[in-house]
Amino acid sequence: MRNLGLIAMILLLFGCDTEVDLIYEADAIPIVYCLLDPGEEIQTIRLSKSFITEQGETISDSTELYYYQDDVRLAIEKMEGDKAVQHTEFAPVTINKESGFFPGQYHIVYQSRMEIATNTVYRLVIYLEKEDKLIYAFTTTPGDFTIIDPSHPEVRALHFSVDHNPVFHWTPSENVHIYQLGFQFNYYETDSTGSLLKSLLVPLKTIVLQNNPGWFYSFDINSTKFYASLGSLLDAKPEVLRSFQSIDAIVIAGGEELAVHFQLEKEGDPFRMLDYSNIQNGIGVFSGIGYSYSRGFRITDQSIDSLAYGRFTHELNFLDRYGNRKGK
Amino acid sequence: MKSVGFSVLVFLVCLVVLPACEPEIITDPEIDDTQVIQGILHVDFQIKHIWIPTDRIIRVGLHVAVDAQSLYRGIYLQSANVTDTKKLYVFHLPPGTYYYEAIIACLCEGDSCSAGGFPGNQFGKKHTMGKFEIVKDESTLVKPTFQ
Repeated sequence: MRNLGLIAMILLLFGCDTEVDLIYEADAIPIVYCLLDPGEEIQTIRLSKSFITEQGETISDSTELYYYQDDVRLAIEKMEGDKAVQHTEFAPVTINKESGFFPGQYHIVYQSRMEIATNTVYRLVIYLEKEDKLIYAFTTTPGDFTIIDPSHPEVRALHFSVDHNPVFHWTPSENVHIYQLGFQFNYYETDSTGSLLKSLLVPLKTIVLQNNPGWFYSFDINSTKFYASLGSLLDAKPEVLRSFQSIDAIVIAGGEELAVHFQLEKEGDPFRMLDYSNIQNGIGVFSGIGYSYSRGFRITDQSIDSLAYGRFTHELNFLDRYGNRKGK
Repeated sequence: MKSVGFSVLVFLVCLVVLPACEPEIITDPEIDDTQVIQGILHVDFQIKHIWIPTDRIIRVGLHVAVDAQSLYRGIYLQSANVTDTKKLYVFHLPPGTYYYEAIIACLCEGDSCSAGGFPGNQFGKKHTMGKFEIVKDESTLVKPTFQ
């Protein structure tokens, strides 16, 4: 009877522990991102897994972020109806990180040489052997489209000023729900060691479109925003002089999945419980992307001067229309 | 008396609620509000040609300068982003006398451009210029014509 009382006492004592462990160890969720690009020879898939860390903790062990490569079978299949007519296996590749916050030491992506057709259905299939888990997704790649304006860079120059915004015209593309307009800005950077041609993508306007009102789309680019974006994207380097070389107009088209993902991220709904995903048994986005370029424009002398001495870009040390730099 | 009290309450509620419904006005920080734009130039930039099909001719440039010498030296006050899909271009200018320059180019291959009166072959250009007046609160229309 005395022993029974002791056991009851021990049970009661343990029963008084009110601490709740909020972080529950569960199976990791596969996270997949892939944008099929008909303009690229090599296609890339990002596959990682969800992880939980305590506040302030970083991940040092890559096994917490990536699946063991021998356990992963990853392929993209070209579909015709319900039938896969082309099967391409992807292999892991370690790539350099871009700037920004990343929890791991390096990146593993899966790549393969694969020709992507426009206006075609593709299926992504991932099999995780150890977990015996199948992850899959479908997408239809964007159709062809072309930039109508700006055009003829051989004889036209672009003009960026408050009253005269450059206008983009382009033909609508099938299976595309989102477009991004921008410029590839090409310039020389000169320092004591010599000159180097550099290039910078300046994305300026993102438009979610689901219908086709005519035979082309028309949107203008705010000239002030162009200078402001350039000023924020390019680092000021007092030791270098820069000179304008050319500018390329770009329209980037994205599939429906990308458009929904963008819309939800932009809206930032505080009651949204989960991120948008079109990956079955995982999280992420599998979609298509396409590019159309109109390359090699000059900009007007007035725009070159604005680049050199305008309030957003004057610290970037660009030469003016005469090849001079006031104060240098 | 009761209804007067109710009206006062409604008035007070309106005072609080109505300003909250006012849409946010976003202004372009680059635009100087102190600069008063006093006149408008409309340019009806048509493409007409008797020797070459008009779909093989493109607009290449449309500029405004303070005098003919500046126009000749390429020192423009304003320029338009010309396109194939737009004929009418608008410039906002203070009152005064100005000069415009309109430029077209020929897209034909071979010697069709030079045979059609353009200098050089493909991308040969034709220029035209003119003088115009901008009057306060009025719009001025110019129609560039090419020889």
